[in-house]
Amino acid sequence: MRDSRTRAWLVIGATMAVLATTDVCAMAQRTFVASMGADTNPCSLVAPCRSFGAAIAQTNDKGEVVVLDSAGYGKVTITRSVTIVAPAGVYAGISVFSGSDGITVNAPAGIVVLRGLKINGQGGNIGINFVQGSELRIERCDITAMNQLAISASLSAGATIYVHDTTVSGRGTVIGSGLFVTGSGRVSLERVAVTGNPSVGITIQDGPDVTLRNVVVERNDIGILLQAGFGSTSLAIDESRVFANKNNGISMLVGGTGVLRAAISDSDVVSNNQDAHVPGGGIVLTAAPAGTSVASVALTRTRSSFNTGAGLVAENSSVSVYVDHCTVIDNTGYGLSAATGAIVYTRGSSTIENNGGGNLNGVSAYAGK
Amino acid sequence: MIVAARRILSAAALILPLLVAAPAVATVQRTFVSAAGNDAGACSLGAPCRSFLAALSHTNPGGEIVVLDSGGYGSVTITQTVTITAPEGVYAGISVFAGEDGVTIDAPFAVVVLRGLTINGQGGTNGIYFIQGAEVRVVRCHISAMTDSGIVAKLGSGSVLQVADTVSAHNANAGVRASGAGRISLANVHIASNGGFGFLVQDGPDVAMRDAVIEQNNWGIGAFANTGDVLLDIQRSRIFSNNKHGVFAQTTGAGTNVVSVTVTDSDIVRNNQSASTPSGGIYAQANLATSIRMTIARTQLSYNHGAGLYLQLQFPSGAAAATSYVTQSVAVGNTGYGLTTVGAATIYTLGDNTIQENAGGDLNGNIVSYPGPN
Repeated sequence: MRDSRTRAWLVIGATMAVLATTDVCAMAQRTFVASMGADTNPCSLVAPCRSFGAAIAQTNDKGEVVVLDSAGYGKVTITRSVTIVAPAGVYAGISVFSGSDGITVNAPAGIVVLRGLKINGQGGNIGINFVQGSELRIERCDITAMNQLAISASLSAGATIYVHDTTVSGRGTVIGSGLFVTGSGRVSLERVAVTGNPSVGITIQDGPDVTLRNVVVERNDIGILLQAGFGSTSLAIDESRVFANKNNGISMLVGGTGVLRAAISDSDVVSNNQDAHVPGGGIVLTAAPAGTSVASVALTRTRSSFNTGAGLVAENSSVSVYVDHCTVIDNTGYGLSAATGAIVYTRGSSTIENNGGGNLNGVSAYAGK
Repeated sequence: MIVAARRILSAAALILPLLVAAPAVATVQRTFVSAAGNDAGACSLGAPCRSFLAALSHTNPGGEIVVLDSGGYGSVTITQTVTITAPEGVYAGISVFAGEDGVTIDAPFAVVVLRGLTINGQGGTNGIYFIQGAEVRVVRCHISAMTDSGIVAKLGSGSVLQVADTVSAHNANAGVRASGAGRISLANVHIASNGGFGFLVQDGPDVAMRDAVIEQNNWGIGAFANTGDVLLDIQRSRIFSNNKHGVFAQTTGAGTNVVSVTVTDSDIVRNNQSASTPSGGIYAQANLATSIRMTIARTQLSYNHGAGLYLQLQFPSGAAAATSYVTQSVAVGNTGYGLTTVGAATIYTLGDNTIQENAGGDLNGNIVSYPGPN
């Protein structure tokens, strides 16, 4: 950046030295926005800008944009490494209107951090759209009522998205989903609430390695949807809660050449499938009947209870599930069910009682090691 | 402090040589900095200073520096007991330029608290450099992009590093690294995308880690004993998708040093993405007369490249041992073994683990079931 500016300076200087300074904006390692700012300012502390777009244009690669006081700061497209920070106590809003996205990250090899932003759908499509980049970190953000998705991430190999301390929620009849990730990158969710989205809460598709910890997925359509049609997808869920979703709590679909592995521990999958979809329940694992796909699930110290349908149902071959130290009670269908070639193993350490359709269907035993 | 004093001295010397011996600046128990401040002021609430360095020179030992509003406040070296606080709602930045460290703590017996700082490398070396002192507490800070490490602590005997509610990311070396016979407490920290170890402890520390997320570093956690023991307690933490081992423990040296690690209610998942060998979610190696002890309970050791747990005892002599106890844990879908030993190491399992579907085989080597009499 500096080199190109130097070159620009020399060229302009040779021809029109007097005007050169008006064409080149000064770049800084830290810029500021404020409700009383103006985008004609240099975005300095004493002369802040009014919008994120103007501030980013004047921020060094790997620099920071700091929000000084509460206001809306407008949608923005980010094409380089930058951190946008609204300190706790400052409201930094982005209203997203029809036909647009809130924050678009399109920064090849870029590292982008978004901290403390409130993104509110006003007919807009996507709250945060991670199109390209090496890493996106979303911390302490609140994304509401988008028409399509709160967060969308298309991950190239090795790319990462972190979502920590963040809320993703729907509102009324706005039809969007919560979080959608696809591609062979990495996804880390920590202390995230995904609630009340009229469509799927979290969709994970074709290739990412995902960990969820302290995540709450409530009152969406499907809570968590995994789709593996190709690539190798892994999901570790720990200390999380999937509750009162209208459709299945966790749906896993594997087909084609997809490989899907999930380890769920110390979590609650409770009171899901309120709309009574069939097949349905707390955890539903389905493989394409004749595919080369493989799915395996380890369910440990987890409650799958009070769901409409099964606590857990696995269908078709190349599917195996290991259940240890779980509580599966008061589901309206089976507690655990293995159908058409799927294998569900229990170790004799779980409490599986009072399920309306019967406690166990086609379940095998395995030995602990 | 020294620099400021020198500045005062030289300025005074130029204009008023007679007054050079006049008393140094008055210090008070609480000083203030502000974006509109001026370092010529008294750093009072009515006349705040512009930099941490100036404020420190006006602050009593044991006093506080308070940030009034958002701005950058510069690198600082601390040689006394002091608390620097940026309240929530205020952004207090330190850009660290080449050749500098962000906050340096260098005074025996000093107790230093840093609260609410954002330390961003712009060519600078370390974010927080704890050279000596009784205790450093880092709370609610964000540290990133240093050319060495986010936090470096050289712990004297009994000295303490506490890090809570803090992010350390994208540093070229470690997120946090510490050595010496002190104590380290980490709670609710996010250590990510660092070029070396996420968290590195060497030769002496006792560590308690809880609710830590350590991911996307080159290695997750390193625990090395060459001249002193390391005790490391990992609880309710997540070690995910590091490029090499999730946990790398090694004992070496001429003595009988020990690394002892307990891991409970944690996830060690999808590590060793680079498929380096010897590989695994946890790789632990004891050498010569040194020992490694490891207890793993209610923990995921899954989807790692290579083994879930790889425990090795190499060239043993004397009372050397490499032992691990594994209970109520899950090791599935690793590309190598679930659990494996090499050399005279032993892994004890309680028979209550789910160890399945590991591509290299579930158990290998010297795996012994233990009865759990207690």
